[in-house]
Amino acid sequence: MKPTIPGEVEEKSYEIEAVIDRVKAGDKQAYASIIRQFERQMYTYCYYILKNHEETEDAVQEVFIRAYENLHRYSRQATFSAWLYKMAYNHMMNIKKKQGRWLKLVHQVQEQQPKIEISPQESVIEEMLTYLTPEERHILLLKAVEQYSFDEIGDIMGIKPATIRKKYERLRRKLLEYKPNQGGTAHGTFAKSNGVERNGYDRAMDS
Amino acid sequence: MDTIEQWIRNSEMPRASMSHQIMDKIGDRTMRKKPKSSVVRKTAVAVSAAAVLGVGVIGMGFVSPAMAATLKQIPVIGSVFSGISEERLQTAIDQGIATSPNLSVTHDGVTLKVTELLYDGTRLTFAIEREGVEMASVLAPYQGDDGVKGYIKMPTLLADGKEIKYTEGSFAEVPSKGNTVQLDFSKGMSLPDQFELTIQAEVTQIQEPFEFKIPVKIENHTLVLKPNATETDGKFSYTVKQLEITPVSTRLILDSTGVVPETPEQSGEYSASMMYYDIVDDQGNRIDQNRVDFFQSKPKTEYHVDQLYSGFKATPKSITIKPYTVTVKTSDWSVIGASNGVLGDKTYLKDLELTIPVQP
Repeated sequence: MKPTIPGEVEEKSYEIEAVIDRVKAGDKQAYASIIRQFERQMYTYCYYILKNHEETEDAVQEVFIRAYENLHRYSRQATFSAWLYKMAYNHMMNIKKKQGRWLKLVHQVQEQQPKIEISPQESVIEEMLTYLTPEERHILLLKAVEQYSFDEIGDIMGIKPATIRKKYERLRRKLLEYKPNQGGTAHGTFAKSNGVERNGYDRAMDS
Repeated sequence: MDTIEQWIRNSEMPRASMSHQIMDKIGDRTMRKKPKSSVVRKTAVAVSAAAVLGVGVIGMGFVSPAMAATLKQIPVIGSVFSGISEERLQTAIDQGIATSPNLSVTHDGVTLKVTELLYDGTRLTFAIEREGVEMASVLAPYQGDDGVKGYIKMPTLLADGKEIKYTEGSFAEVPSKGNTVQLDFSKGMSLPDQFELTIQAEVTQIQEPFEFKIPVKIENHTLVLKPNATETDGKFSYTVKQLEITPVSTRLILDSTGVVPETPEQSGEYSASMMYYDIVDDQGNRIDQNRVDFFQSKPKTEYHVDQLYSGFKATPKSITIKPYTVTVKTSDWSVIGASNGVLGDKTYLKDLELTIPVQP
């Protein structure tokens, strides 16, 4: 959760900017604290898109390295966080283009990686995401992970904010309409723990 | 739905921090320096400015033939002079504000050159060029040079032998121009109109320092106005304490108190940002603010603003300060209308505009 006390937000944002300035001035090591600040959320975003821990690790590393190399392009007119996620979004779109067989890959990976230490929440999230298009997944994840506004998501994905808003409403309806026990169990990996998922799912959607 | 988003947000990373791994990989790389779009745009203007200048300088006989020759060759791409209008640059040269020291020092096969210097009494900017090594980066990496020769470290600056103190400045590679660093000091400096500037630069793996001594002498015609003019809408007010106008820069110093006014659109989930100030001349031409800082927070009720803007094309009869806010989404402090290079959509507060006479 983002802090809600204005002072805290300002301080955090100000700190990040100050660290960025130091890095730009040649204090390379200061960048490590930027990585630690953002890596967990970045990992989450990449993981739920890529569905594979190994690929996620590579992607997260690549994003932070690219951000470092291009840091001079960053100006304070956008938040550093949004700028970083734009880079991540573009990187994953490129990966996707290269692979060119999105769904096939996702399913394949799911079969290869039977759930290891997966929490009920995670399996609900994963199942729900399979009902969304790649674009919808990006929107939902960006909104969830960093609580971005439609404007920011629009900027990150290069789509008009109004369009993002519509797409978000659509994906929301899609998720609300979907009932896990109605034909949603074609994916073998989900069938095992269907009960848990349904409970978790209902709880999540009721809120 | 909120819960789903919260679950996603709270997902754990199933491994330890990758910061070491990433930093190791970064260790072999350097920060790339590429032109910002504004620099590219300015280039065309600057090219023609320099071309005309060369002729103008010789014809009018203001400077020595050597200086004229230098000016003809101003490497305008990434020049510290780019972005300054032709007339103003001419004035700046006449007043000793823009100079081309063209000094070079060579140690151990590496040559550093100080090619351009801009000092107008309120800001100091110069560039150092490196020759003799083929490397992508000019700046020394923090973690040490790894035994690599040729990175330039942050130089020490002296004025008449005493270290120059400042509170805000930058030290950066020059976009679009390899092998060059630009130093820019804009706040907290107190320097006279005439002094000897010493630049002590160090290059990695070279023991001897690269020292440059540059006589600086400007005719300081900085127009300093202390209008002490206040504008208020009842709740928010600001007082312009000082305006400094030089051929190449404009500084605005003001104090504000009170709550930033909000338009009907800036209510509910939206609110107004802190107050920003545009400056236009009597013809309505806006000058660029060097840097617009954005803080992701509720605006405070008191600010001391000290901001540097570009110079005016010509000294205006009057200037108008146009306060504005941008609209932020309160939940995450994102700015409406923000895009690359633009802070956001501006909401000008006409009631708070203030016109200040500059010339009688």
